Amino acid sequence: MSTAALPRTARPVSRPRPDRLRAGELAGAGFVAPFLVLYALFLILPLVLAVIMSLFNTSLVIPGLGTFVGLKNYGELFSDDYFWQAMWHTVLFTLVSTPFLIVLPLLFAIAVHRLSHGRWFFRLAFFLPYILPSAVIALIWTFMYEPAYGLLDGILHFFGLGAPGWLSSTTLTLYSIVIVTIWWTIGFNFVLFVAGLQDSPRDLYEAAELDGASWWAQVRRITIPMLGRTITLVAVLQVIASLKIFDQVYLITQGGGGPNFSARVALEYIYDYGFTSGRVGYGSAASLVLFVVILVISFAWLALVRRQEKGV
Amino acid sequence: MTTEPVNRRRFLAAAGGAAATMVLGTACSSTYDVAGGFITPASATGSNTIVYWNLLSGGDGSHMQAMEATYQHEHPHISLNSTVLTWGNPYYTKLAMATRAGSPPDVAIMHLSRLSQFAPANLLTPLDLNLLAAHGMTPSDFTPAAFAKAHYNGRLLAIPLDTHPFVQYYNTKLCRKAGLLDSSGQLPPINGPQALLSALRKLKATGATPAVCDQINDPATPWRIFSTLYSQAGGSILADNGKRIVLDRPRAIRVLSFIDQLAKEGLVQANCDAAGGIALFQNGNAGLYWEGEWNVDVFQQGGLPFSMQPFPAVFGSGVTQADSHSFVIPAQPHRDPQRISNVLTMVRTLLGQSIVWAAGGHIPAWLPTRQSTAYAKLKPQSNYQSVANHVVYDPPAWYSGSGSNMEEYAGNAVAAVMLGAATPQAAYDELYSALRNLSTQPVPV
Repeated sequence: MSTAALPRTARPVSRPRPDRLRAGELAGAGFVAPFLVLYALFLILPLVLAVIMSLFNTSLVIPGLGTFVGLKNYGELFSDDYFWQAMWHTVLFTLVSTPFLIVLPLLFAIAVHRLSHGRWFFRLAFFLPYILPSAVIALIWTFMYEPAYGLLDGILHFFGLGAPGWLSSTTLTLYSIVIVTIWWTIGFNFVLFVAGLQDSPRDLYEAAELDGASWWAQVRRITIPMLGRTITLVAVLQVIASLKIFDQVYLITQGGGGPNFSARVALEYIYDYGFTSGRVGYGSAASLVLFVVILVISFAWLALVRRQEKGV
Repeated sequence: MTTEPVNRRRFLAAAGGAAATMVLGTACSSTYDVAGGFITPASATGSNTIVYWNLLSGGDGSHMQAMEATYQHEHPHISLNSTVLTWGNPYYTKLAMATRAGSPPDVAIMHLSRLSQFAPANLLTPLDLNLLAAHGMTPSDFTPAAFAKAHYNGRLLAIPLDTHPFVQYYNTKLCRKAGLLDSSGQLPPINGPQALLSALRKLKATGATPAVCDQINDPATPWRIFSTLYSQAGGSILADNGKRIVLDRPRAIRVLSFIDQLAKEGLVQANCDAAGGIALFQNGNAGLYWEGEWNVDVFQQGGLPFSMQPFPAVFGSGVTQADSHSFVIPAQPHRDPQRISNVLTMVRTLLGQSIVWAAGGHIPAWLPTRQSTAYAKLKPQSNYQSVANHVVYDPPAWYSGSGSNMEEYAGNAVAAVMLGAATPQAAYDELYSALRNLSTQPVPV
């Protein structure tokens, strides 16, 4: 912008800024205003309301805030086993899905990058599931997981193996949903890695090849370091995305959270109590706790990967 | 054809125009709410429109559509705007929110077991018997059990449409092979635990799947089987509108142990979801199928050799878990007598076609139909009509009723036993702690 010309003059800062600049700023603010209004209306305001409602026994079907209950909602929340069970499922889902969703797309991207023919096909194939809506994913995989006539049990049966109860076992259901999620969202991270790989200069590889570096040495010494920033980005985005897990669980378990709630995640708990049970005040308290947890984990994780990145 | 080809610009213009119209429309009508979405609220339409919400997305949905078409044909000046929404908790959450937001439908289908959630929050319009009589409906026209359940604190809040019990479907070919049928080709009533076990074992000996009862993603079904058996054993579950648990441990353990025995002996296939259960019975390799009666259409159209009867009286009485669809008028911000009159006429017209409804499996609450010869001839639907007099509805509570939290929590505990994955004792503990969790929550209605 026009500020780039200012440092040449001797004392530019102390002088009043030219009108031209102020007009530009005004225009900028004007362009940003619609966003700020929507942001305040749909993000800041609900957040403030949630904080207020979490201190009341607000009901969905009774007008008004209800009566003030202080921190009682939080007290009930912290002593409710179902809440901690749901929070743990969200964390467990993140712990299990994130490594796969970072490592697998990285490996696939490197493999596809080294192909000389048909790259477009693999890029398309990996990315395609990502464009499907979660409702479609849920339908497809519910069919595949079906015990009586599902594809997966059919294959296992062919090899003489028993049916594991993909969606009926209390231990397996959450992992079945992890598998769905990996298949569904791998394409996004894959595309980020592919873009990162295309940015890395070819001459480095040529030089390495001339020096007789093996394929593995090239990957370890050139590809991974060059992808450092992309890996950081993917890692951070992925953890946040995994902590927000809701729709595929809700759809695949048809709103029930799996057998004996063995796959109910934090967001679904909030939905169940805030909307289905009509306890908006209590649901607000739960969502604020989840909000803080996501914030803390995200910052801690960001700090961790940043430090890692500097170390490389 | 003179249609111009759609190019990129034309598409973008059309899409942008549509989006702008939606935004403007929302801003102008100023009645957009989370619950109602873009559905035109009742208050914004003239009194010659009826907005009707229901959750009949199964086999019964097509019967309701046929009945609506007849009404529409007879009343062409009224525009019937019918919307089908997702069954269970999502439907009732939407209905409660739309009513509270002041833009409810004119009339909605509600399970009678859900009145205990809607009535305390004053979300329903009380119905006047004189007004009903003026539209051709009197209390003696309805199945007494259903009509009694349509009241809350002495006020009539709903007009019952049917009773839909948990029943037993049986494959006549397989049951004959197992030697279970009598000379007329019917399955005689099965009474007592030993009789049921013996029938299932005979079916198993033929190589068939003895019984199918789904539970994956469907806790309502385990709940129904538990509620049926437990009520047969003479127990009740909740008291004081859900504030007190009166679950009787010995009875519950007895019932859960019986279910556990079925699972352990491989007498019930429960590792399937609702669609899977239908598929397993439709495949013709399952002897019995325990479910609500609403799938009768599917098997008739599939040409399956089957019949239906009341669920076995395993423990003493033949009482069976059931619910009833009913019509309710959600509380309106401005009550318009003309609209209410239109709705009651519509309800009466639909009740008059109860034989169409009965074909979908439900036992009509409308006695002129239930006692007719046409219904008696309707087989296998009329085989189990006597059950409507001996039903147990879900215990009243703000968290109970069809597809409710209670069915979900309690059903989850029972489902584990159906799979043989939990002991009866563990399931009882689970059931009790789930009920305690629900009953001790602050009441939000």
